[in-house]
Amino acid sequence: MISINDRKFLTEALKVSKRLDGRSMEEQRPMEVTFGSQFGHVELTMGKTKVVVRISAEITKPNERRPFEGIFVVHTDIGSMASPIFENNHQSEQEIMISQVVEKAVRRSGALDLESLCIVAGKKCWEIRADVHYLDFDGGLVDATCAAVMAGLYHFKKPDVDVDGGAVTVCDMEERHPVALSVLHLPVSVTYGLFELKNDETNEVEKVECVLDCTAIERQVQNAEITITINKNRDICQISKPSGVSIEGYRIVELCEKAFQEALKVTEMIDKALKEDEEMRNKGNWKALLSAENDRYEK
Amino acid sequence: MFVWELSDTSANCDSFWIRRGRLGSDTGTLDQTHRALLPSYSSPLTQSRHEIYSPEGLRTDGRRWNEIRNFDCKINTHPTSADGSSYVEWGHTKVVCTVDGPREPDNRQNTTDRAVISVNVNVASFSTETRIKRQRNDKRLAEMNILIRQLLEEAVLTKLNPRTQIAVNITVIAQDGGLLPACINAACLAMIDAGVPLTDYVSACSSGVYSNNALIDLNTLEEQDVPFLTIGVIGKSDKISMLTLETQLPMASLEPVLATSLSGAHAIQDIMDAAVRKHGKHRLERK
Amino acid sequence: MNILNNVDGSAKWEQGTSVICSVTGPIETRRRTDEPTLAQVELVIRPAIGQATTRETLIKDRIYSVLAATVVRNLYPRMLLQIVIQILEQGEGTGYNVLKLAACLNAVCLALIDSRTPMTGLFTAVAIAIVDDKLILHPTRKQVSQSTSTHAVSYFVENNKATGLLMCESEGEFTENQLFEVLEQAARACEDVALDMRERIEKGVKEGLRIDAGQE
Repeated sequence: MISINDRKFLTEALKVSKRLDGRSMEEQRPMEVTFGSQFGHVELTMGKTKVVVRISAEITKPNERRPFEGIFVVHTDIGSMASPIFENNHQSEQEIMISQVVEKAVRRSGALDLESLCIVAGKKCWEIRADVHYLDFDGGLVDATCAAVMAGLYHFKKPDVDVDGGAVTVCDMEERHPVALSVLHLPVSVTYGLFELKNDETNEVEKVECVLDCTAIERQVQNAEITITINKNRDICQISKPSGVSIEGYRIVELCEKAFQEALKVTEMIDKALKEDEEMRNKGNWKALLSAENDRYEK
Repeated sequence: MFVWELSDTSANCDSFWIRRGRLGSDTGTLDQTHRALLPSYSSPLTQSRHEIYSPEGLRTDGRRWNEIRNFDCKINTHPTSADGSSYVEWGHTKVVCTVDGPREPDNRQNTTDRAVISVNVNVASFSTETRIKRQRNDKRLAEMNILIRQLLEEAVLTKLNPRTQIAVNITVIAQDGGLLPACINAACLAMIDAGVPLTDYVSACSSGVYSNNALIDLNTLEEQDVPFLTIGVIGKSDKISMLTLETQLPMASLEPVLATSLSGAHAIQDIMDAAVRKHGKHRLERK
Repeated sequence: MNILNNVDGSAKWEQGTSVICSVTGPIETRRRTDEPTLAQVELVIRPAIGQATTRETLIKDRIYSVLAATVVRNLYPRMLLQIVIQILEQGEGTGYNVLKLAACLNAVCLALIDSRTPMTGLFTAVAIAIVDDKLILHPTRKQVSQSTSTHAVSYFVENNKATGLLMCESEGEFTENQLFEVLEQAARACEDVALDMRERIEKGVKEGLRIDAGQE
């Protein structure tokens, strides 16, 4: 709920290209990623939005139609902790759209290599489950979720398995070093809010402004939004523009280009965070001990 | 059949990739897309005969890249049971739409200053090649409902009928690609038949890209192989109201694909306009 | 405390398991209230991984009983108090609840204080595991899995003295004497936790900053 005064203030500010938190129209809130002690535990904050992702793995029977592939599910259930506007057990429209966009961006784009999750064809495979918990809502949920889930997938390590005929033994995490997941690419979601700025006297639309990464208050004023998921190889994984204000095709192409730049930044940020976490865990340099490389070959 | 053969050669990964590679894609991106969407029941033998886009410029059903399928539409198909109705046959996709309203709303809460549009899409289990029982909480259908509803809300002059509800019911009897665009087009026609005030025609069209060739209006076979997007436009403007892309598309191909689908949507509007005028003339002449 | 922006009160408790709790209220009820003279309490517990199962319902039930005794519900009739607990890290094997229960209770208490909900007093909880006949306070994951019995005990703490036993959830094989010893030790431990809580609350109120209940 937003008062008429607040709404007017926001739109007037946008007319002179100013935003409430001082960011530029093309500036995304900086994302901060921290990893928990267990593999696949990611906490991501983007401004005031806080998201926690837990990745877990279980062995199950694969889908009958796809016996060579594992299963990957993403559960996004926004509760009233994030904001009282969300109900605990009820899927509002907003929640359905968010979960669908996240599904398309992360699951259907094939970010996780499902065939690498197969253990015994047709009988046993890994089921990777990503549970997304929303702690705080301030807009940008899709962007935060995608980045957090991808960071989690890169961070997570599943236990090693021994396959002997039909019998599968899961090795203890202490005995054998766990195995990382096979992630093919890093899709990054970028959401723009579209604002119809009208001339006060004539009530005609002057222009439609595209604003990157809207906060909750900006979302209440926006007339439409467009979410673009793109990876650093210039592949657009997904575009979702549910109706609202219309914009020209060439502007959408421009937005994709800008989204690509953002995607590069986010990819870099996640890579850096992963490296730092690696180094922290690598104390004692056991990686060199486990490595199969021999020093003498490096001459 | 495809699956059983492979279980014997599961250790031989090379042959697995070569098989799929034969199905007509040479770019890395498309291979990935194809991998994600290949249905397991189709055999490679029949698929290799279907070239998505042959060197002569013909597609699997003999169309060229810029030809839409046969779009046949009728309005006022259910004159007694609904305020407005339409039937759309787009290629093999058959969709029936009925509109009831403006009428008494189910829930008075959001309607104080405008009419509320509710959309319900029912996909019959016999509409696809193999019978699929619809799940209760199908999120994809829920998403489709939301997309259609939001697009219609843009076009319908809801402020003229406050405190009412306009119920749109879409039934899908056969699917052969282009489901969302067909539903949107049917809904627009049914709205016109019901006399609901609209700013302009609402039309939608899908288009994809195959080896740097944009293809307009895809059928099921093409939708499974090729990255595609669906756009919704209001009127004949160049502005896009709704856009959904669910498969990986290289950025360089975005512009041609958007342009193709825009022209497709405009062409559909002409066809819809002709059908509406024909019906109007028929009604006037009857009296 | 005070880590979330959209809710009235929030708190995080990390001790073995990591738990975050949010409190919103009093707000308008969504359903018809069963009791017209008392506030309605909606408690939701979300596990770290997977959907909520009967294990979460068990924890929820125990917390309800503690809240019924401590939250002054008759001040806000026909209103709703929405409490959501999100478990971030389990900290113990799947068969055990003790660490989660203790952490949830402490987090709820802090969150209620942060949200300025009227309560009859401060309450704290501790987890005790009996391993080889020895009582271990705040057990680790390994100790919990090796224990013969686990106990989660919650006391009402007034003037830094544990005055009333609010909840005692014990699982496993133990003797009567062991139980009495557990209750004794738990009372002392609850007082310590309460002192710690008070310090943090005071500090937070003075500085107006967020309070973190740290790892012990």
